[in-house]
Amino acid sequence: MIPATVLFWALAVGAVAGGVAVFAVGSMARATFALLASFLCVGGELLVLDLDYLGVLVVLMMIMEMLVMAVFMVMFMMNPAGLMPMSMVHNRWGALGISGAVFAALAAGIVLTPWPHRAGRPPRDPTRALGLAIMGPKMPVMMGIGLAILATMIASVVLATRRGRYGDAE
Amino acid sequence: MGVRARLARYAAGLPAPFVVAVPGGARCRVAVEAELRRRGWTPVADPVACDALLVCGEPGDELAAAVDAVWAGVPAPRVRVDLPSRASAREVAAALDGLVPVLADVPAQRAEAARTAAKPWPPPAEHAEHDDESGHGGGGMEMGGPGGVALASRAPDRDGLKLDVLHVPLGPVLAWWPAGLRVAVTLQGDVVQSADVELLPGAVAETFWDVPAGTPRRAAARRRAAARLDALARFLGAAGWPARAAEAARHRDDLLADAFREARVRRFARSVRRSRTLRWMARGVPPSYLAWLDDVETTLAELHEPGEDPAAWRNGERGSCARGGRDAAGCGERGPGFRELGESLVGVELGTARLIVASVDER
Amino acid sequence: MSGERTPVWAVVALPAAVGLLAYAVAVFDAVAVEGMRGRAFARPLRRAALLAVRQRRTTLAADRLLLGAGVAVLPAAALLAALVVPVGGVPVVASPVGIVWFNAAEVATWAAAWLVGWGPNAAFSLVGGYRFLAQGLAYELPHMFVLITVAVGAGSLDLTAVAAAQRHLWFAVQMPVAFALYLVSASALAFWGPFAHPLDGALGADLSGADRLLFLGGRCAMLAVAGAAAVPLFLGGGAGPLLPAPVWSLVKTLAVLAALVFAGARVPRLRMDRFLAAAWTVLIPVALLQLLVVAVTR
Repeated sequence: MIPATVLFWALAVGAVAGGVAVFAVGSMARATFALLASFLCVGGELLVLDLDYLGVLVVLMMIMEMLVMAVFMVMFMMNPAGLMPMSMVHNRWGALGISGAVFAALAAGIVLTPWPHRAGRPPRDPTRALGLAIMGPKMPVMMGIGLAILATMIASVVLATRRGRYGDAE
Repeated sequence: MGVRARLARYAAGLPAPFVVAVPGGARCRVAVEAELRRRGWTPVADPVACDALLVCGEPGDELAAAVDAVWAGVPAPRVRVDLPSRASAREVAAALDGLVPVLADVPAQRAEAARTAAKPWPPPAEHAEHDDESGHGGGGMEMGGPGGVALASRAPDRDGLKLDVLHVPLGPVLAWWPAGLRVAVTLQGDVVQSADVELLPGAVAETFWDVPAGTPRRAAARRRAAARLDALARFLGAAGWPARAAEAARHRDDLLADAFREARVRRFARSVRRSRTLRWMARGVPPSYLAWLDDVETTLAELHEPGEDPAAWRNGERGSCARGGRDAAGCGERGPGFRELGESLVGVELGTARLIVASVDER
Repeated sequence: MSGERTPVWAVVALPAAVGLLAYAVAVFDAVAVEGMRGRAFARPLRRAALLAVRQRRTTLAADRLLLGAGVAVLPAAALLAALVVPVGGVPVVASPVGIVWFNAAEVATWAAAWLVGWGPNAAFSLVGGYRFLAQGLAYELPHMFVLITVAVGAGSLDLTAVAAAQRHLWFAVQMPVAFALYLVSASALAFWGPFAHPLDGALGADLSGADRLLFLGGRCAMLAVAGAAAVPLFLGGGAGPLLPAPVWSLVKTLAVLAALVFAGARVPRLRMDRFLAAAWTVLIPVALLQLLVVAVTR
């Protein structure tokens, strides 16, 4: 097997390269998928760190999110294949300055933070431990709220649309 | 012989045909479809996927140009066969026999591939408007985009969004589509905003489904039922039910050959009528298929009625007009069905538009 | 994933197994749609051979990069999904979160459909890609709830553990609604049978040669893997009398696939505008009810 360190660095470079590509490519569609590739690399990093559930969840959510974003970003704007080259960059120098500063601050944080040493061992089932750590004894409440939010979203959309795109809502 | 050549020869044993229906060529098309079924060469749904383009009948100039444009986009290995509308079953079989050696001729097909690859596809210059008759390779109308490609313009959509407007032709070379019909649609998203219907004529008039006076009663009834089954096959195909569409075509051919089993045709009609899913999907579409099923059944019943004079068969008499009410598009003389078509396509989604078109029978 | 050793043979065996199952799907489809007329076994092979050797033509100003990515994503996603599916109790990669991984790989079909729709620079193709995204959400939500229901029933996200939890009674019996919803949403995510609406003269219509082969083959593979996953999810995995576990897995998988393909051919294609409303207003609430029932009775 490939050593985890090699994998980690490969994915790290991939994630950053994907991020850079977002601003280097000439079409919104390509930018969307460059961003998706970057996020998938981040999901891969979590898998390398043995955070199975979080890693897979990042992969799952990012695919869905980016695709939905593709719809909203490009909408039904039918110049397929990005015929008109367009840049994803606005306010080039200001953006470069801000992002450079943020990157430097975060990177400095990594180096300067006194990272704790591992105490104890990883739990047998990290997914369960994660759930307990986040929600603790409020698990059923949280799940109930999750469902309620979903139901609210669907219901409000149904109530808000007078008719569907293809005629009267049934 | 290389692996690729071997594979190419192996593939040539099962051609992937695409049948181009031409006005006036119904007789030929029916013969071709029957022969394809006998051989098990199932037609493909997209012209790009075919390796044998079978043109059934003599297209007029405009339709011929549309067929040529589609042919230009078919990748090699490929073969095109132009069949005359009077082609007999034997001629059709001979033509289909001739396909396989052409497709299996690897060196010749390589040369063909090199030749087509040298030409840009789709042809960018001269017929920018008509170059994608199959509806593929769409673009806009305004020139001036990069590479000479037209960019779409925008207009307010009925949902209050500002969406790109595309002008694309539907047909005339499409599967499960009336012969020679071209609908120039304006699209926003997948919703048709306007539709101009145009019937590209063939070089000869369509007489195949006509029942001339003096035809024996039984033969007349068979021809009428077959005509309805032909329309049903098209509708079922457009509705995405290929197995049933093939069944309708088989019953059509059996009726024409007087080799049909009445009980089976009736069972077919019953089971299609019973399909709740099909009814659900056909809601909002002229319910012609139900009328056609009625027609088939009543015509079959006529085969048993003794002594009655064969009534000349007109659309207005029974079926679609008498029953449906809502499906006025299928009524009257030849043609008006298509004329009214344009309005009924406005505001519907593309898949539904194809269903609506398939529920019009020009006869 | 979590450091388990992947056997070397799996690198070869997994694509081969997925390929064979996809071939089985293609054969079932040929029989279901065209009937049992002679050489049904050879039909998919001849068609694949044609596409493999065929000239590749692209439309004007196509986005080759994204089109190529989209065409490759579908078979790749099928392989990734297959990684965690146990055959006879042994998956290639034993993952404690196999169900989520499987679902993540399935969702990659969204990306494939959208990219294949976008790439050719053709109006109808693009419409097909967009349509599938709108539908995808309506299919994915019930699908996700069904998978959660199974996980709740088994108390684990590990597919091997899920299969083991059905020692006494299959989940197909314990939660029949979830099973039915799984079959429906799984074929919908592979745009198969009555859910092939995006393909209707749109998605993939401009693909030729190897592109088309990968796209259509990947679609078969996606359905095949979804069928194979139904075995550990609902049909007790490799459990069964007399025969060894892998054989039982194979038999059950083929039965599920045959049922999906033949049942799919008996129904006309569903119109997206109609089915979408049903998916949101019927399938999702029903899936949630089933989840509630399983959660309470467990």
